[in-house]
Amino acid sequence: MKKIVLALFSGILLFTLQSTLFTLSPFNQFRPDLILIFILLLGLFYPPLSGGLIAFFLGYGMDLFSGNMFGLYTLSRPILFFLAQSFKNHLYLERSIFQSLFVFLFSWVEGLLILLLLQILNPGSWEALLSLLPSIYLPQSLSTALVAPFFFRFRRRRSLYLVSEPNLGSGEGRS
Amino acid sequence: MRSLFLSRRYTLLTIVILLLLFALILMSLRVKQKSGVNGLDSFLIEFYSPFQKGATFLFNEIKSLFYGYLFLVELEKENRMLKQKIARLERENQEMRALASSGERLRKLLQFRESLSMKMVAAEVIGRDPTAWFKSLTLNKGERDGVQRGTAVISPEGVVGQILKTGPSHSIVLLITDYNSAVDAMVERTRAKAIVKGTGENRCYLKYLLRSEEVSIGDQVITSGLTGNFPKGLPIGKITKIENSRHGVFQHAELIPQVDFTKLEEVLIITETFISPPPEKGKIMKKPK
Repeated sequence: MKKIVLALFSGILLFTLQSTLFTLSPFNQFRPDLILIFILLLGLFYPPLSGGLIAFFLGYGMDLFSGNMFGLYTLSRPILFFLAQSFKNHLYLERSIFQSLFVFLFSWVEGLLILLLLQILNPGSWEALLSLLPSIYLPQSLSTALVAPFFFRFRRRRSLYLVSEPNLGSGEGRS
Repeated sequence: MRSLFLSRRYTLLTIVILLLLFALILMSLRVKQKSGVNGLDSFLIEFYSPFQKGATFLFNEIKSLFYGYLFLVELEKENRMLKQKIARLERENQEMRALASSGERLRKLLQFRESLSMKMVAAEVIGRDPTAWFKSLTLNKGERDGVQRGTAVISPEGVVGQILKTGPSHSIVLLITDYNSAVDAMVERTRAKAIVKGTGENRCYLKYLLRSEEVSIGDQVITSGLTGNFPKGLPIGKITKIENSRHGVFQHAELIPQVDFTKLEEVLIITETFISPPPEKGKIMKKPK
C-alpha cells in the first residue's frame, strides 16, 4: 500500500512539474512528457492491477487539466501501461539508446491512437491535427525520449517505490 | 468459473478489459455532457489544483531568487561583506521591481476592468496544459466565484479564450490558439466578418473570410460581439499572412494573437452574459494604455 501511495504521489509530482515548471521554458514544444515515461516505467516494473489503476488515475488527471473534453488520456495511458506490460519480457532496455527508442516509439503509438480517437469523436479536425505532428508532437516525443534514460537510471539506483523484479526489461523472455 | 477468472492467466486480461471499458464509458458520458464537469471531475480538479498552485508559487519564488541573488554568489572573499550588501540590495531591488511589475500589471488589469461595464472576476494562472495536443490554462477561480462553462476570458492585451471546465474553486480555460476554439470576429479596418480559429500552435487563422473582402498584413482583428460571450471590439490579433487561391469563395489569413500566452499571469473572467449592442460602424471599445 505504501508503495502504491508513493508511486501515485510521484506521478502527481511529475504531473505538477509538467503543467507548471516545464511550461515556463521558451521552447514549449520541447517539453518532455514526464508522465508518459513514468507510466511506461510502471508498465515495465509494476504489478498490473495497481500500476493499471495509477496509469488510469494519471490519465484522468491529464484529461481534466487539458483542453479536451473526451477523456482521451484516461483511455490511452492504461493502454500504454498494458502494452508495456505485455512487451516487458521481450525488450532489451539496458542501454540508454534502447530506452530512448522504446519511449519514443510508445510516444508515437499514443500520438497515433489519440489522432484516431479524435478523428472518430471530432470529425473534421484531422487536417489541423496532422499539421501538429511535425511541429508540436515530434519535438515533444524527441525531448521525452532524450529525458527517458535519466528516469531509467534513477529507477535502477533507487527502486524506492517501484517493485523490483529482476531480469525485467533485459530482454530475457519468460517461456 | 470463479477460479477461472481469478486464475493468473485471466487476471491481467480481466483488469485490462475492466479498466478500458470504464475509460470508454467515461468517454461516451463526456461526449454527451452539457454542463461544466461532474462530481468526480470537480473533486479531482480540486485535488490536483493545490499542487499546481503550490508549485507555481514555489517556482516563481525560486525564479526571483535566482535572478536576484544567485548570479552574485561568485564573489571574491575580500569583498564579501561589501558584495553581500550589494547582493541584498540587488535582491531587494529585484523584489521591488517584481512588486512594481506585478502592481503595474494589476493596475492595468483594474484600469481595463473599469473601462468595461461588465461583471468580471480577476483570476490567476496556476497551471498550463499538460499535453502537447491542446492549449489550456488552469485558473484559481471557479463556480463559487460565478465562473461558468463558456464564459469569456480576457486580459488587457486582448482575448484569451473561453472557460471549458469548472470546479468549485478552479477552472480550465481553452485558449484561442487551441484547434477547437472558435471566436466570432471582424477586421477592425474593413469590418469584414470571419471566425478566428486556433491552429493548435501559437497562432490562429481566419475562417470564412470572403475573397471579396479587402484585408492586408498588419490589420487588427477584433471581436464582433455576435456570439454573446465576448464584448464587441476586444483585440484578438494582427494578420501576418494572407493566401489567396485562384478558386473558392473564401481567402485564408493567419494571425498572431495579441496576448502572449506564455507570459500570461493574470486574467479577467466575464461572469455575466454579454448582450451585443446594435452595430455602430467605426465605433470600437477603447484599448487600455
